[in-house]
Amino acid sequence: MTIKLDKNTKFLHGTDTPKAAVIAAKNVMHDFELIFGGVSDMKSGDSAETAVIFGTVEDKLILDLSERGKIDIAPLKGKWEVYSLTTVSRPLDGIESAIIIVGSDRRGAVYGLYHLSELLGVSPFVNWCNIPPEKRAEVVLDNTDCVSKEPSVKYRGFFINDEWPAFGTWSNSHFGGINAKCYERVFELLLRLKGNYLWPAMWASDFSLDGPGLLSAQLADDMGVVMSTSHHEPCCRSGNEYGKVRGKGSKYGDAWSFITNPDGITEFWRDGLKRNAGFENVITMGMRGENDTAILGKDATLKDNIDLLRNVLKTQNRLISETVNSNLEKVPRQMVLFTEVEEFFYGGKGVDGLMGDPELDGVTLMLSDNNHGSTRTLPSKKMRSHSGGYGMYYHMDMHGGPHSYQWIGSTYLPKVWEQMTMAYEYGVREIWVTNVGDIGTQELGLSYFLDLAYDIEKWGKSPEETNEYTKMWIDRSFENAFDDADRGKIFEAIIGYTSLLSRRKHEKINEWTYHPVNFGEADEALSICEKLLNICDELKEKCPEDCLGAFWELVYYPVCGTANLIKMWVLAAKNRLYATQNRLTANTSADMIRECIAKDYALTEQYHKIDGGRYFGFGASEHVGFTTWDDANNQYPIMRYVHPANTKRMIISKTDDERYVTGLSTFDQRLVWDDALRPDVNSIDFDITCAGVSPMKFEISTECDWLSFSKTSDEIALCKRITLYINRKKFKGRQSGSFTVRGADFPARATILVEAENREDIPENVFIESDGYICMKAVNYQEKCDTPDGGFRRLEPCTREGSAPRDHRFYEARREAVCRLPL
Amino acid sequence: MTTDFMKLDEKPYVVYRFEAAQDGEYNIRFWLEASTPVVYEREQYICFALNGEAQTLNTVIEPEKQFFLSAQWSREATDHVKITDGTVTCRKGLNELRFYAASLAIVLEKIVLYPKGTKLKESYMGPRESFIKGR
Repeated sequence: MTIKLDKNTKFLHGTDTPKAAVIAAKNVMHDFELIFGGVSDMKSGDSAETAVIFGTVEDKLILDLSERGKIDIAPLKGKWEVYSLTTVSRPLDGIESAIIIVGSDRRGAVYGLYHLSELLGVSPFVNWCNIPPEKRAEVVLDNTDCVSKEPSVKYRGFFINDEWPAFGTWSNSHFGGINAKCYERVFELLLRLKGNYLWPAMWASDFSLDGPGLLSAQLADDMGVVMSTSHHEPCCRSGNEYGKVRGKGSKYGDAWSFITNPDGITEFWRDGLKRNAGFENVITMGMRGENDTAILGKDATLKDNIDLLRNVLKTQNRLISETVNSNLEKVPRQMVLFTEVEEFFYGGKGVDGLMGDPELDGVTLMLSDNNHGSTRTLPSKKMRSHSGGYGMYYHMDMHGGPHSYQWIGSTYLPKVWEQMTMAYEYGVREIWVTNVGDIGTQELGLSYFLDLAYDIEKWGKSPEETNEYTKMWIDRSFENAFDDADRGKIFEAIIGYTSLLSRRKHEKINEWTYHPVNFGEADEALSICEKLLNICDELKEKCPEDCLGAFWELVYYPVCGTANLIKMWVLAAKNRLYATQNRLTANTSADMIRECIAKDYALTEQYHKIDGGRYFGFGASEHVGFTTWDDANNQYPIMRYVHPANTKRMIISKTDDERYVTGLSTFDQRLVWDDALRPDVNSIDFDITCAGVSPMKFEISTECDWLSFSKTSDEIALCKRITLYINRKKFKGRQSGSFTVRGADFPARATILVEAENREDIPENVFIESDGYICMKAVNYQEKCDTPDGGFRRLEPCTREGSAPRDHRFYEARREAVCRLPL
Repeated sequence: MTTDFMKLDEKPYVVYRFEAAQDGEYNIRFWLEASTPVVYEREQYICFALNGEAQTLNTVIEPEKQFFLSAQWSREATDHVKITDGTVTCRKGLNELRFYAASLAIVLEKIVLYPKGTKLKESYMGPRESFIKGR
């Protein structure tokens, strides 16, 4: 059945419809206003051509429609966060037709409402990034009836973390702090992305105090967001709260110690649980030291720590049963096995850990990654029956070892696919939470993470799906702003910059990362960066004004910020090499580095101003040249300038080789270029560069009939690139040839030997050693042998190489632990 | 926590054929995704056989230490690559290398061989792929 929606569409819900659905509906009505220029609530006695009726399976209005046979709510009953959309004629007196959105529960209704918005072409970032939907007089929906699936992962969310300087500055400038107004924007984003769970900011803010008061917590519950806290904030208390209430005379005592101050700490936890008991929470259990440090000192034994934690868990369970629900099985609880807590869980050195402790029955055990997106411990087969299930704490932002990365989102989707689908297959299905720092520029990674958690069957099949996802994500955001070809360029830009970051993150790239010449890796990176910068500059010119802010946030700033930074460091590597050889091109590269540094500052300045300062603060994190784990001693590249020698001097060097000759007999070593021993090398690029006063003239000559040159004489002011051609038709077997470069107006003469080989016996489909090595990309195997139980599978896109094979075992044993080989 | 997986001849594998320029010992370097041991053990194995001679290497360099927060963890998380080195004996001419399924979460990126006693040129991304006729 079709249904026409327009500005006269009215929204209707029951008197007992949950507040979360009503708030979501108000956001959807705002979407209608943006599209149609109007919308309204249905008042008593109103009639309507078209209506959107929404509620949950428990609402009287929905039950009435069900009883009258207008909708079927049976598929929703007992389900978690499921919704249905049903198009109905004359559902109620005065309404000609309606879309009826029913949730199995309140969040099901919320997701159903936002699904309707998406059907109308509204981006989930409509309010986050100010992406305007296309204005239309009407939209006719056809065949939109559906019943959604249950989400793959029960709790799906993110952690606002490391919030200074970025998130804190943003929230202060827009909302006056990290308060309920700020969280309203965040919660809407979370729910539109079909998430349901949040760890709030906690560096210098207290979620349950700063609303002001409980306003943020109340709002979360009103909107249907499940709140939790990070790994070291038990019992609904933020990390800083104890510091605010401790002291002599305080009922909480004056020591964050469960050994010296058990009564005070117990009271502190009890009051936190009582305060937040009315809201939907996943309660964090366990304990760490103050400010996220180890719970006991270095002198404590493993057993001391484990015994202490057992007491902590026992106490916390008792408190929860006294304050929240006497039936603990009904209270979602989690314990995060992060840092040293992991060892306390597993035990060791003859000491039993917490694994299997009855106090952890029903508690979700949160595992974590290695701080850089690779999952660490996953549940072994023995562990998988744990009654509380497992969760994953996954980093897309980090403040800590081995180094911090808090600037532009650097998440490479194939890596998330590879690691999180594996985690899911291991049974990590209860909670997925990702640390997204300040959220800004993390939107792609965050969207993918939440969509993968919501529907792993759809997005988890293969890494190729990450490309499809990215295209869908771009279409959803920019369908109205760019045509197909330009959206293709956005795709190219996003894949380009995230692939570069899959090699190394911004903060740890420096002049020593890419070798300036070897294997051409610096030139390859440079060429990608130039291309990305050009694509984005072209797109920026074409971007409609009303979408420019979103374009900056989702594309331009992350792509250009990254490409400019990498370009800067590649140039720094070249500058260093050139300067050591006194090539005058060192000065050119130094000038270009200076331009990159200026651009780095300018990009952030413009980013902070775009769309009325909508993203002010998000670019504030330090991001260049970390020399330690953090930004304490970071620096921009050093620029080296050289002065020309007083006489003319040339530097002759292959573009992929550090070695060089000058043609001055007192200096030069014998130079042999053996690239053409490799059968597919038919040309060699080399530079003749000025190192002394310029201009200078050169002449190239050879008596070898299979060598020729793109240029044999010229005047050079700075540098000239020459291509040497090898004519393989003119020789057989292995040959040596030579050529001479002579200064035409100065006394220098360099002779370079060229080795080449034409083999007639090269076997087909075999890698051939040359230049002293054999290098085989893993995906280019010649043969593979699968077994009935498993086999290798090509993953593409994946890894720094772009593609790679990984074994996939088609049986449950694949989920077994380490496989020891009986050789 | 460890379990026997299956015998070598029951394992899936991929085959790489290459021509070495000389008889003798070669360094063999596996470039792997920077994955970590997926269980609470300090073991993550790769398994390979050159011309029928099988070897198993633990990619965890210092198994006596906890992997998380180790120097290896720090290096691999920063470089986004795990590099595992071994030694093989090549024969001049055609050689066959099989790479078997071993520990989980292993993703192979590339394999580099170079004669013992020599050094590869410095680089971050590693050498260019060698020539292979017909591709």
